[in-house]
Amino acid sequence: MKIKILILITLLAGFLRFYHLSSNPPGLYMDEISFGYNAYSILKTARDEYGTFLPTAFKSFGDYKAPLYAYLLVPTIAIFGLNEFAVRFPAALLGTLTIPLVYFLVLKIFRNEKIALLSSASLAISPWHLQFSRAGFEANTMVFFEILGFTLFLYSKNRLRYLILAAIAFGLAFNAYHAARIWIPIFLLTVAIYYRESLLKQKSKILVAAFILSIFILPSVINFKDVTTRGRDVLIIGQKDIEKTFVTNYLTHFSPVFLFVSGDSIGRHSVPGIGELYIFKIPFVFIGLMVLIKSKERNCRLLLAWFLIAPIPSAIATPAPHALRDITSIPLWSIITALGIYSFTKVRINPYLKKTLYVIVSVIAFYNIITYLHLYHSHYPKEKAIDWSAGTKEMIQYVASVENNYGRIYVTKSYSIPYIYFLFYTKYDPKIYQQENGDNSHFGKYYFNTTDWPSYNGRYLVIDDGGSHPRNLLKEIYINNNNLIYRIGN
Amino acid sequence: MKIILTIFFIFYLLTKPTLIPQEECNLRTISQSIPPIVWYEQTIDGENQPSIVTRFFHNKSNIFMSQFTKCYAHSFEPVEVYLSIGLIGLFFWANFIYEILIKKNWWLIAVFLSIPVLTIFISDPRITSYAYKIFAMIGFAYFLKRVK
Repeated sequence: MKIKILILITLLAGFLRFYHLSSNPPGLYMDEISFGYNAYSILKTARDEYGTFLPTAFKSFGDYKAPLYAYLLVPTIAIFGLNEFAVRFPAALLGTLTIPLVYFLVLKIFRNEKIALLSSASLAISPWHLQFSRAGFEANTMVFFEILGFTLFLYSKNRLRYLILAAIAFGLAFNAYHAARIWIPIFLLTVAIYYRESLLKQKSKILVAAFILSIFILPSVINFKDVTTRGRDVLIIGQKDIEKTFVTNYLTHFSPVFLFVSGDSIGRHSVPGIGELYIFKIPFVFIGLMVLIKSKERNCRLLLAWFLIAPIPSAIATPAPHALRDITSIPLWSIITALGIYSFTKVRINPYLKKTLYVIVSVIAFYNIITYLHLYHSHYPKEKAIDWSAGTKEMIQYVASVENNYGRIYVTKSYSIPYIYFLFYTKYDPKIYQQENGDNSHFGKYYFNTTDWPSYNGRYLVIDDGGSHPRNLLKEIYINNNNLIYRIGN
Repeated sequence: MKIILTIFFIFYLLTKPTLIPQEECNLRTISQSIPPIVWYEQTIDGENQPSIVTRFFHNKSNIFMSQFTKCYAHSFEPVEVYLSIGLIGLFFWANFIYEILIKKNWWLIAVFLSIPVLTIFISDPRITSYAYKIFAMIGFAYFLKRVK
């Protein structure tokens, strides 16, 4: 019976994650596009856009992205083609599979099927988790592999096979996201501290697992300078008042306004008008935390430690709070909520009062959830269209249809990094692009700039933002809320 | 020793300046924010959506509650507590919450939860800052009681 409920919860999670996946969020943002085109390039040539053979870090925009998501995209692009669905498929799939994983993790920790089911259900409908499962956020894959590794570790019972699989999962998580290079070592160290006694009893097996894990870590060590490029841009190290900034950043991740009211201020990270967690969870989060704090069990202590260290990768960077860098907290908030709900059901109070409270909470929960779904599916694509580069695909499709009439095509860089969008949507042959060895400001007949265009005597097409006034206006591109985004003319 | 620590801690809290949040959050600001939000949300919903759906999600009482919750939640911002009474103060403030919940001290829980409401209605943000200090002191007292 419990497994049937778990299957139903997983199906619900899958539906919420795959429903209108291609069209909402209303466009691919530049990191998704970059992952997509680099995976396409790997598929066709076994090299990335810069011609590097099977890279262990993708140079992309100079930020040297963690490689896992690009490699996960290779089979999906081979099956579905180079499009929005293919780029988001691994995130949605692994996001869905995280739900049963959390069930097995919680089952092992609390040995209680109800708490395990409640945790899965809570995660299945979590706005925070849904947000990052419905777009090509590589961080979501880190959460999946981290939970997988931890679950395998807990189920290992000194069996080498499980420990090896756990090491592989943690190794993959390490290569899934920039912040994973900070988070996974911290998390493993915490687990090692809590399980030191059992780990010391099986030294040889742990050494084998550690050796396998080191194989996954080695590329990052070799390419240390490259893989830390992004970190150098966002880390607070070297700033004034670093301690105060760290503490402030850390505490913002426990802000009730961030958690329950407004969410992350970055448009791609949350839905306006909704917090990262539902409001109805507030009392259960409190109860769950109290139970966790009072518990003397090792696993509960570990969960509490996880709760306290999860915001560290986000706290050492700016801006904060940052829902994406704090992504490892998501399953934990669901587990704490589930623990709170379960503990509440065990509280001995007047049965009529209890039933009344159940009804009130259920009504609030129902209203919370449908409001979120309304805001996500009805408001979000309109409100945050520009955050997702909406309109760019339409513009490129038009340009591609008329490009044969022009010798050169000049494109504005007002909104993002356009070269990668043109490569992606025109399915530009990666082999040709690698040979051109472009500097991202030009390939084929396309030139990307903001103001100064190279002089050209032939026919040319100009794609600019709404501010320009070409002599012959051919087309205007508007996004959902009737904002002019591109003006195409010659 | 406990007396010295208590004196030191009280002195530490009293010398901390009273923090006044930059963003005003009270009944007046909540009421003022409702009409533009209703207009904004209804505009996004568009004319094609049935008005009953729009009113179900974007009615005045719903937006009032949402804005009220925002103001209310703002009073429990850990960052505000930290900036107001420092890291040590924050620790004892958290200890106060822990102790009143564990001990099921319903009177203190009620006071703790109603202070933000008072701030919203009386619209004096200094109340929150003073409350942080008082709660931290009680949290400190609880802590001393636990230490043998």
